[in-house]
Amino acid sequence: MADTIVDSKKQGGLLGKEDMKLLKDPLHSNNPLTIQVLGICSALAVTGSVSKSLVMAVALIFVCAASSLIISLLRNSIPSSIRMIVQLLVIAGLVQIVEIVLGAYAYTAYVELSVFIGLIITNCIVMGRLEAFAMGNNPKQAFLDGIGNGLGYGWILVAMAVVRELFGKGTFMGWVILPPDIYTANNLMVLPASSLFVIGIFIWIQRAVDPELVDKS
Amino acid sequence: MGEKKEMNVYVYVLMITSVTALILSLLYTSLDPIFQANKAEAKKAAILSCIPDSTLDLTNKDQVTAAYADVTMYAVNIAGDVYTDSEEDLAKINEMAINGAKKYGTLAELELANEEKKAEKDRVYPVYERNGTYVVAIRGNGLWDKIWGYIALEDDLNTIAGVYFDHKNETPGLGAEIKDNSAFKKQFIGKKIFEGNNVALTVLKRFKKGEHYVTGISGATITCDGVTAMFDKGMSKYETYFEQLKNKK
Repeated sequence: MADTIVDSKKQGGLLGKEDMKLLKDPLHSNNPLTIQVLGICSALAVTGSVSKSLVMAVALIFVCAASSLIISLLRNSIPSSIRMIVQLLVIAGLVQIVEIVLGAYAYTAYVELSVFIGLIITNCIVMGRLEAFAMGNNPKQAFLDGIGNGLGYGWILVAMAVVRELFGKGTFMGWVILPPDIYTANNLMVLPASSLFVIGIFIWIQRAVDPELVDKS
Repeated sequence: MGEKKEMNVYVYVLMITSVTALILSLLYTSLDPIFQANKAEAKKAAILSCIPDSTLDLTNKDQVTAAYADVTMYAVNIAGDVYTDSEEDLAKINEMAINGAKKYGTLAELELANEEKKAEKDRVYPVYERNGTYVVAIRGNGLWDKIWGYIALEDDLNTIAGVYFDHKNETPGLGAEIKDNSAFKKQFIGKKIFEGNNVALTVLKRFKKGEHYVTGISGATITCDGVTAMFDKGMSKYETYFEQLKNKK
């Protein structure tokens, strides 16, 4: 996870080339789920239905981006001996905000996701980005990096959920796509274990399309 | 880092925790009323969900509100006394609220968890009635924490019309199946609760034929035993009231 510190002075415009790289890289060539294999735990748990994974993806993008921004703003003042505690406090606070807001404005999602909202705190992507990037880069870049990684996680999560929900229940966002008399739902796809197959296939496809990602060793 | 002098760790921690706590508490206090309203709405849907009604869409807020308008709610105690939502009856219930038990503003606020703080003879239990179907509330222990449910009874006050279960912290895929697995809940429909004066409904590990038996969930033995115990404890509280009702008919 070695990240080069980006020199913002070389860039022109609102989002320079380097900034776009921060946003784009996590979507494909440095994807937190399929390349770095972080955050697998929640990918197993919440990808059973598309609506659930969408809420989770949005929540993670928010937590990841906001915590990167806050930590980057504070980075010069945080005493180094307690930096991880401060990072955790910021993440936990933001997750709590997500939980309170969901409880008030998206109660069904709040009940469905239950413990998994709280478990965003332990999602290694968030803290990983804070340690590896936000602690050493300026707020704008850290924010973009947070958004990028959140999106990189989110799109794989939703894509997995589409596959699992379609074959597991024959539906998409609850709408029936494959009626039961044509397609008998495969219950295995609803179980968490199936997400391991699905993510394995995703990783395979990604590396087949782009052979540069294959680990040389 | 390092170009500035580092702040005292204790001061820093105190500052950052206070700021976080302040933000969170402000947000919580401002959004809690909406959250509570959502919870009340979900409770209505839960109660209605165990009454068989194929025309009702429980995800539709307006339909739930409209259907719940037909529900009359009152409370009974173990001796069979009935308490309605009148000020007089509420005063009687609140008078018994000791040991830190909460007082109610309306009967709809009644919670079994709160009643459990009172002495057994002082506790009141809710009854929800809709078109001749009676829904009662029960509460007990699962494997990790509390489990609870609503049971709808047909007008013989013995045959189950439908059930709703929920839990605080049961294991997803195992104990949590009492809530998530509709096949498990469907088994209860048509079963009889009482045999004579005893609660006979039992959740068993294996299939057993009979109007009192329900097949449990594999891997969730303790939660399923908890359901049996919850029925036994919870339904017996309503027995005197049910006897009175039957005699009236």
